[in-house]
Amino acid sequence: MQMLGFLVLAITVIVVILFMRTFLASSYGRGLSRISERHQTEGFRAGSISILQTTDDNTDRTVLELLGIAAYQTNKDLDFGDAGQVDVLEELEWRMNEIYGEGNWYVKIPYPDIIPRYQMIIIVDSSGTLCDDFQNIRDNLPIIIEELRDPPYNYNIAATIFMLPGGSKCCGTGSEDVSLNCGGLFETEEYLHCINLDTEVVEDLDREMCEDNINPENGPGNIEQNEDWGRGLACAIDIGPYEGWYDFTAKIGIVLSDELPGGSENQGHSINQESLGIGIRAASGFLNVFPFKAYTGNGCCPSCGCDENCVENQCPECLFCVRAYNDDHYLFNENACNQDNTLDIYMNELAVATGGEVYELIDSERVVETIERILNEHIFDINPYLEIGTNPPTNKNINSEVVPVPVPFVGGYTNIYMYIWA
Amino acid sequence: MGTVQLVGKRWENSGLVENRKGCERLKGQAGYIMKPMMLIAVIILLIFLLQSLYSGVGKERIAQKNLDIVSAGTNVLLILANSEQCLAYESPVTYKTQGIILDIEKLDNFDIDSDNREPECARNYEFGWRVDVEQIRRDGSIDNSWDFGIKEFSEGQALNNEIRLWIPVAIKYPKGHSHCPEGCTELGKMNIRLVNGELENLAGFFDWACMMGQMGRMSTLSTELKISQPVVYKPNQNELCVGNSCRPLLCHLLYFDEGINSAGTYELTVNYQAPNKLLVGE
Repeated sequence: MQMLGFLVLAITVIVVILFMRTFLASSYGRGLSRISERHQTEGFRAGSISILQTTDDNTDRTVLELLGIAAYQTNKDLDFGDAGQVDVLEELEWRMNEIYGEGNWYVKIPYPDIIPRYQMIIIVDSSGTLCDDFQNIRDNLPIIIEELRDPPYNYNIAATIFMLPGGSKCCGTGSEDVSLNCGGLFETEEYLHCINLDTEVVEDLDREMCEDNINPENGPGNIEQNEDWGRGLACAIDIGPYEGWYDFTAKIGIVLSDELPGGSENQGHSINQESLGIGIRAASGFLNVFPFKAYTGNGCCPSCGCDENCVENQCPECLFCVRAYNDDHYLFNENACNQDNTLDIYMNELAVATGGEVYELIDSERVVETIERILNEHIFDINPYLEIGTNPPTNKNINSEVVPVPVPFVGGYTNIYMYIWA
Repeated sequence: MGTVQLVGKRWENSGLVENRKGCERLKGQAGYIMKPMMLIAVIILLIFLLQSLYSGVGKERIAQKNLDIVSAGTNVLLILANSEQCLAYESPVTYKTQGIILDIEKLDNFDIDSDNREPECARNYEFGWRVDVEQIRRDGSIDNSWDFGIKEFSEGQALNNEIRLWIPVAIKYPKGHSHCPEGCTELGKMNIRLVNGELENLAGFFDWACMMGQMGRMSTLSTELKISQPVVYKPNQNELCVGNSCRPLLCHLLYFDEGINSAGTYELTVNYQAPNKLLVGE
């Protein structure tokens, strides 16, 4: 019993010793660590402020200002005219190297949120058979764009719709003739715009392929070809989205049509291939094109039995309503129907050449849903930031600092994320 | 009861009772040895416990000292860089002080006026310090430099603790300055050497008492100081020296001409006499 008592006593004493030592050690260890951290934090903060407040010799602007401008322009090389050019990241680099040493730091400056990360151009065939599809875009795309921009998606997306010229009139507009073009159909939203590829817009372009028309037979002053989506794509790329092209963004092109580029009635002529070729050349290596194949009426091929004199309830699944001479007419689009397979091939060729994918629209209600699918199903390589330095290692204590940087012209802010390690 | 007797008889009869008694005797003899041994073991354990506690406390004190000096160094650097009374640049347009951006004019003034003393705006009465500011060129070379603060520090046995720290700073040149006529802000480093020792403690005590007296806050102050090297006061230069290191004082000392000649712990009392004298008593 006495031995057991002694053993218990000895263990208790050892536990007390260990506890006291641990307690004391952790106490002063924590204190030392806190002061050391404070010193490092204050030093780093002082360092980051001092570096960002220093001025460039040529422009007399602070590094902070330069980074704000570079973030807005999404470009590290800034041109100040007579004052000269500045490589902003180089200016930051030598300063950081002097203070923290090469290989011991990393800086990242995301572009301000006002600059979209996803830029989408949508080229819409403006023939009357697309009225129902466009109706879906008009009704739902603004809502979907907003939804995609909000959590949980957080796709910072901006879309610009390009209407091919010669917009047909749509049914259901009553006495008011409303054509398939931007005016009257589309209200401009902050991140959604619509541009008519009409004569005025196209003639302003330098690019020959666009200037020379969208319909070579009619000449530049008389553009009427509402299905020439190959050239239309080239023109839209040339014009650019409303906010202009940014280098770093995910660029998405959508072509919405139910006919061959230049019209299915021209199958067998070179016009279709020419249009497609122009579109592919313009888009390859620049943006991913996702052709949307609208319903061609292929369920009723080769004929609906009524051709151009149909009535509404006659094979309704194959008829399209178009408005002409102040009246609604129901048509069976025989050309589109017969060229359904060829349209598949054309669209697939464009998609493969540009890294996109063809989406077949089962009905007109699916247009916006399919746009959402593109974003969710495809991974786009985007780098929406300027960065310099060495990527932070995983096995070191990293000291970080976030410095707000005002972005001129937009009146907003972005952050500079600075990391250092010993 | 009957059962007990019967069992007792059986024990007696089998001779086992004798064995039991023998065991108890042995146990009693072992107890004489075990008890002192346990006592000794417990004492050893307690000594070990106390020693561990004391060593922990000792380590804590050393750590505390290190913390104090690092903390003091950080504070001095931050005060110098952020206080408008020290070096921080104040915008002539907004009258706002811009921290970490040093005013070139203030730097030049400190370089001249505070060549062998710590500027009052960042004075620490426990530590002595000297700062040098370097302006860095793009190629890493030093473009320009300034230094200020005390020049000599405690040495040898009189030195308790010492540290060197630095922070990056920006140096602001106003428009019209010969260095950059259009005005500019250059990159720089501010380095500090901070020392705690007998000279700093003793001079700090005298300067503190002088300042308190001049402010009318206190006229008599006492302190206990450990001295390991001879302390000499030079009245003509108004300097206090410990060993070979000297530093100037704010007030003149009276009755301290002999200084302190031998090592030991001294209790000093000073009385302030306006406008700038301290009467020293041991």
